[in-house]
This record gives sequence, structure tokens and C-alpha cells, in this order.
Amino acid sequence: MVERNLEGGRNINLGIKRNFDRVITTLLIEDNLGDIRLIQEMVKNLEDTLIKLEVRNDLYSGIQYLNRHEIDLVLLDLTLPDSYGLDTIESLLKSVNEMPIIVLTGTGDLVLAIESVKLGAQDYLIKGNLNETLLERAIYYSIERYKIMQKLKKSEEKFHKAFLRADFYKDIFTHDMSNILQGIISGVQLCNLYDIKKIEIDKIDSVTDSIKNLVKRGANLISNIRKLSKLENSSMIAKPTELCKPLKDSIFNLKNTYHSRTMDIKIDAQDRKFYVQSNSLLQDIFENILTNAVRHNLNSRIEIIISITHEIVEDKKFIKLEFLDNGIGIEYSRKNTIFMRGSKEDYSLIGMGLGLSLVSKIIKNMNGKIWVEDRVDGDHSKGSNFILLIPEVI
Amino acid sequence: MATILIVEDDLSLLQLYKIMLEFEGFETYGAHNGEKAVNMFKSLTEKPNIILMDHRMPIKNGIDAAKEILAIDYSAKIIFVSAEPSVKNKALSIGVIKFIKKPFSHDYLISSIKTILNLSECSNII
Repeated sequence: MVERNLEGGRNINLGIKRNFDRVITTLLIEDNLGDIRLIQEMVKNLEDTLIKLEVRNDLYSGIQYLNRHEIDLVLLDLTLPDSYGLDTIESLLKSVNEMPIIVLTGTGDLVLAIESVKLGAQDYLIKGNLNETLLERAIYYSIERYKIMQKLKKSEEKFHKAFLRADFYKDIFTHDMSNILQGIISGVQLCNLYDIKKIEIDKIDSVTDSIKNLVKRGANLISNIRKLSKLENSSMIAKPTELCKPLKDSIFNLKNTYHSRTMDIKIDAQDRKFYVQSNSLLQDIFENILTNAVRHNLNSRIEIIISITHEIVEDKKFIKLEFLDNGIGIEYSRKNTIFMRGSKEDYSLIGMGLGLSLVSKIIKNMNGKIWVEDRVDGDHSKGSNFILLIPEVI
Repeated sequence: MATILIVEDDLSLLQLYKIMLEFEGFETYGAHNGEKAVNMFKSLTEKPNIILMDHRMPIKNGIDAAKEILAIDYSAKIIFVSAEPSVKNKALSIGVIKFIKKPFSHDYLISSIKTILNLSECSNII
């Protein structure tokens, strides 16, 4: 609330007025003609004033005016023909974006005035005690206070996001890293047991492979975190890129990493070459999707079919990639959320690693789309079909 | 021969636990989320002697799955395994017999399993 210190009020007002180099457009929503006249006179009498006053007589026309014009502040009477009391301020805040509001009340409505400030008004003025200095000061201070509040809000949002991200990384280290370490320690101890008891020596190879894969998984996790943070902090430039080479390189890397698993990967393509508008992370997309298909697969033979076609969606040309696998599949309830790990805390996102969140962010960054369907319609347990649309180079 | 139901969403871990426990002479079943574990527990006519339960899993987490299993059979022996020590009290309060923090050693897991199996044998005798 504005201090009612009238002495020196003009000097303080002059100080804050230096921050404004333009006209302040104020909307007065008031139905009492006497009060309107009074406020108009006060504004007119202000020396060197930069305040322009618009008037509307009821809440509905006030809101309509606000939606069509740039207004810096609202002077709001709480007793209007179409709205009364705190409902007036609530309805106004609901209908227009947040903005500085000064509530005008009668002498007996102090409680109402304070409640208005709690609801989001910057200040209140009691009509019976109003004078030019107070009005001018309340207007300038409310706008300044509003600006500060907005800055504070933005900064709070920024810190909240940073907090969520820190929490997300903590989650990755407690859950994902612990699992990787657990796998490594179990693998090493199993090798020791085989060695001590001199039995099942032939199995040592497959266990050491598992250990190597877990180490690779840890390295991928670190690399994905680095890339995710890079994508969150800047947008990457997309340029024409041929798609088949990074795809084939990804398949080669995948087979190398999981060489102890039997894999049957087929590419079914309409053309020999496809050019897409992509950032430098195209191969990361393929590697993450393919790794996912292998990690979440219990079959002795992993089957992946990659189909590549041209597709027009809403008059835009895309390259459509479908990755059909025979893995454990994704339940209906998780189909939309598996790409969102790190965006919100949700148990359904656990276990999918970080890969799909990164893939989704990369695709979004290059104006593409990604979603997942069942390989066999209606039966998720038969495997998944990850579908990608990437803008084609025309 | 004692049977163990392993509930773990990380398939490479599930696989390693299976090899490890089978190497020690146990018979194992695997489930990769809480819901599958509950369904498997319901469908098994011979109930497993031990359930090794991870916590953070898709569809149904370990606490919820453990609650449902204990509601079916309060004498079920569940060993809760998690990287988060914060869920220990919750797990023990619902009737889980032991909490093991990840990462754990093979020897510790096996000795815990054997202790629980011996205890339940004693209680059967009594």
C-alpha cells in the first residue's frame, strides 16, 4: 500500500517518474459519474503528467477494451453495474493477462481493499481520501512494483526449472547409475565364482560382454546428459543431411556393442538416399532408438525392421522412419510419457533411460515428430513401432 | 530347491540376477514390472520362497506390488532392493522382510536369502 505521507510526496513522485519516458495509459473502470469527473480532473491538474486516462463504465466493456488495447494500469471500482466486490477483481484477472491494478473503494471498505491486494491488486485508494499526489504516486508505484514482481516471478521460474533439473540429475545418478554399478559388481563377482569353481568357463565371455555393455551404457548416459543440457541451453542449426549413412553407422555400432546377442536388422527403404533437414545429432536419434529396442528385448533373436518412406503431412514433406521391434513393448498408459523423462516426476518414465527424452528433444529441435505404436495393433506385448517424421530437404 | 521370483525392470540386471541365483542352485522366475510380478505370484501354484523386489519400475512400483502380494499371502518373504534408502522405512512398515541398498554384493544377497530361508524353515518346524 502507498504510504500516506503527503509531505514530500511530489518529490518522490518526480523521482520515480524519471523511470518513465512514455505516456502511461490508464483505464478507469467506474460507473459513478461524480467519481469519474473527480479522477479526470485530478489527472488533468497533474503537472508534467504523462498519464492518459480512458474510461469504461462496467466490467464487461472494461475487459473488452483491455483485450483490444495496450493498457499500462487499471483503476478498478469494485461496485459496478455488472459485478460487485472481490468477484470484480477475480473476473478481471481471469479475463485479461496479469496487469497492474489499483482498486478504488469507499471509506468503509478497508477489509475489501486489503483482500483485493491479496488477490493480486498492486494497491488500493480510498475514494474519500483521494488527491492528485496520491493518485499519481499510486499509479507510478504500482507499475514499478508490478514490473519488479514480474522480474521476480521470472527469476523464480528460472530457479524452479534449475531445481527440477538438479533433481532430475540426482534421480539419474541414484537410479540409473546405481543399476549400472549393480550390474557391473554382479558381473564381476559372477566371473570370480566361475573362475574359483572352474566351471562354466564358457559363460564368462557372455558375462564380461554384459559388463562391457553396462560400462557403455554408463558412458552413453553421460553423453546423453551432456547433449540434453546443450539442447536445453541453445537451439542447434539444421542443415541438409543424408540419412542412410548415420543409420547404417548406428546399426554397425549397435551390433558391435551387443555382439553376443543375435540380431536381425532389416532396412526397407523406398529410395537409396534420403535428405533431411537435421541438426548434427541425427545419429544419436538412431543409436538411442536401436539401443532401446535391444535393451528392452527378452527374445533370443532380436528382430528390428526399419522402414523409410516419403510422407506428406499438412502439405509439408517429411521422411518417415518406422522402427519395428519384437521387444517387450510399451503399455498404452506409457506411450505418451516415455519421451518426457526429466519434464516431470512420473514413475511410468522410470526404466526408459534418458535416451528417448533426448531423441524427442532432438526431433522437436528440428521440427519433426516422434510417437510410438504397437507393432501388432492392440497387443503391446508383441513389440513396438517407433515412428519418426523428419523434415525432408526440398 | 528354493524358488526365487526376481522383479526388476532393468533387463540386464534381471538377467544377471538370474544367472547368479541359478548358479547358487535356486530356481528363478523373472518379472519386469510390479504388475507382472503380482500376476505371476497369483498364477503360481507353488508360491516362490523368496521375492527379490526392485522399487522404481514402470506401471507398478515395488511398494505397491509388495503390498498386493502381501495382501494375497502375508507370509510371502519379500527382499526389497533399491538405490534409494528413503524407501527403506516404508518398505519395512508394509511387511517386507529385508531391505538391501543397491549396489550390493553377491555374497551379501546370498547370505541374506539363506538366513531368511533358514528362519522360515525354523518357523515351519515350530
